[in-house]
Order: sequence, then C-alpha cells, then structure tokens
Amino acid sequence: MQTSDEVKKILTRIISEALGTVNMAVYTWKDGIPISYVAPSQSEAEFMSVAVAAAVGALESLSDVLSSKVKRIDIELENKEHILISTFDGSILALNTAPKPNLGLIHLILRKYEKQIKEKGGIGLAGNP
Amino acid sequence: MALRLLATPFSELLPLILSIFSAILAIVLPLYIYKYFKGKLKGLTKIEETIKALEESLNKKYEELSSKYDEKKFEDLTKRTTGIEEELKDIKIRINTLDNELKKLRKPLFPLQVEEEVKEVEVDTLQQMQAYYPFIKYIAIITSQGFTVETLGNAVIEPEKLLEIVKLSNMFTGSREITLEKKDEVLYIFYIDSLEDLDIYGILLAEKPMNIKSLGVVKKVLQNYFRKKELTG
Repeated sequence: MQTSDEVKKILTRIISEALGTVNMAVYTWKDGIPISYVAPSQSEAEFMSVAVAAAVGALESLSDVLSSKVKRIDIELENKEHILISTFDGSILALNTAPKPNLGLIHLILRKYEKQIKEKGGIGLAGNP
Repeated sequence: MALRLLATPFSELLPLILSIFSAILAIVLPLYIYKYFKGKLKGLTKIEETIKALEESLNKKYEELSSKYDEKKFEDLTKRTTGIEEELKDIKIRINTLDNELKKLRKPLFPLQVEEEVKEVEVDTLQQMQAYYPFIKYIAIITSQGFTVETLGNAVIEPEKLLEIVKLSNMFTGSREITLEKKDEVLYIFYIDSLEDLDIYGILLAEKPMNIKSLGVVKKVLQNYFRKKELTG
C-alpha cells in the first residue's frame, strides 16, 4: 500500500472520530506539497497545505528567539472555525474544524494519531538533514 | 518455836516456804482443772446427743424417700426434659428466621438516610450513566488544557475553574482527586487517564445523601466509559 493511502486512512479515522467537528484534514510537507488529504476538494486541500506551510514557516522564525521549536498551532478564524496544526520535523498535519468545535476531543484525537501519521507518512527531507 | 523461826535468816527459810507452796499447788491445781473441764464435758455430751437425734431423723427420712423413689419414673422425667430442651432450641431457631423475614418485609415509616448499594455498570453514553445513577446532576470529561471532551447536565461552576482546584491540590498534596461538599451537593474531580502531554480528568456533581464509596463506583464507570472510547490509543 502506498504511503499516501495509509496516511489517508488515518486522516479518515481522525475525521470520523471527531464526530463531524473536523471538515478537512491535510498532511503536507513543509514546502506546501500535500502528501495526503481528506477534503471537500483538491483545490481546498492544496490551498490549505500552502497556507499552513507558510504559517508554520513564519512562526518557526521565532524558534531561534524562543529557543524552542513550534509543536502545535491553534488558529481561530472569525467564523469560530479553528485550524489545528501539528508540526513534525519536515511535515505538517493540519485540521480544519467546524465552527465552535469540541477542542478537547480534537486535541485528544490529534495526539492519538500524531505518532501513527509520522510513522506512516514520514517526516520529509527536513527530518534528515 | 516462833521466836526461833523469827530469829532464823530469811535465806534459810526460803526453801521451806517454797516446799510448802509447791505442796499446796500440787493439791489445788488438779482440783481446779477437774472442776473447769467437768462443766465443758457436760456441754459436749449435750451436743453429742443432739447429733445423734439428727442422724436418726435423717435416717428415717432417707428410708421414707428411698421407699417412694421409682427409677423408671426418674428416667422418663430425664427423657422428657431433654425433649423439651430440643423443642425449645427449634423454637428459638424459628423465631430468629421469622424475625429476619419480618425485618426484610418491614418498610420504614419515613425515608431512611441509608443509601442503597450502588453497582458498577457498563455504559455507552453519558445519558445512560445518568439513567443508572440519577443522583448525578453533572458529568464532564476535561483535558488538562481546560477543554471539555464531553459533558452532560448544567455545570454550576465552569469546569476549567474546577480543574484549577485539582491542579492546586496536586501541587500541595500530590493528590489528583478532590471532593468539595456543600449543603446538598458533592463535587468530585478526579484523574482518568493521560495521553502524551495531556491529562484527562472527570468531574461529577452529585446530590446528597451521597457517600464517597458510591461516587467511587461512578468514577470507575466513567473511567471505563472513557477508556472504551479508545481516545487515548
């Protein structure tokens, strides 16, 4: 089975376990190229990948100042939706939620599948300098 | 003669005086002893006579009784007494059993403050849990971040604030559970599980009368419910 298929299975599990509070799940390299996604359309997934990669890149510039890497980001949108981002060495997992989501449940699910998705999807070139 | 006696020194007369005195004592002392014991002996003979009379009357009574005593009748009597004793034992046992049955049937005239034993059950939803334990007014599962994972009922205080109490308690006492009681409610906050950097806590708000033992059972049910969901991998 291809890596992207295995990752897609995990993303589907994330969405189903979140009980309808996660609309879109994307696993992407840090350069913005998606590895796998579960989204309403390919274009939305690709936009999401690029935007998330840019946001993580911008925040990682702070890591030298803060002497710590960025691990997770929670972005709240005006419409009460959230974008939860989990970063690995060379890859990113991003979840776009429904408005006013159950953040407790989503954070638990995120932590539950972080390790699995990292193992299946790899960590990208940045993980092997 | 009298003058001669007066003229003799006292040292020469002393043996003579002593011999006369001892002769008188030898005659008088036995007479006195005889007189003293004669009176006592008379009393002794009287006692002896009364003892003899008593012995005779006892013998007579013994003879009368032995003539009336029938060995068979005595055996029957002993058998009957043992039979009565056994019947008494049976009656006592029956009284105890009836008393116990009566206690079971007897209903209190007013609601007792004694609680019924709460049993552990397996539940699929929090609604089911509240149906099994109607004294629980509020249930919450919350992460250490302060986000609620699942809730049921209306919270009196925001769960995030309650979580702060447990965190403070953990800092000072090392305990990951805390019970707060007020007049008619008990609030129980406890640790359920951990997932990476997240700790998961449970919150129960119960009506009184409610003891900690019953809350402990509900706590286990909530822990099992959460683990069943397999959210922590």
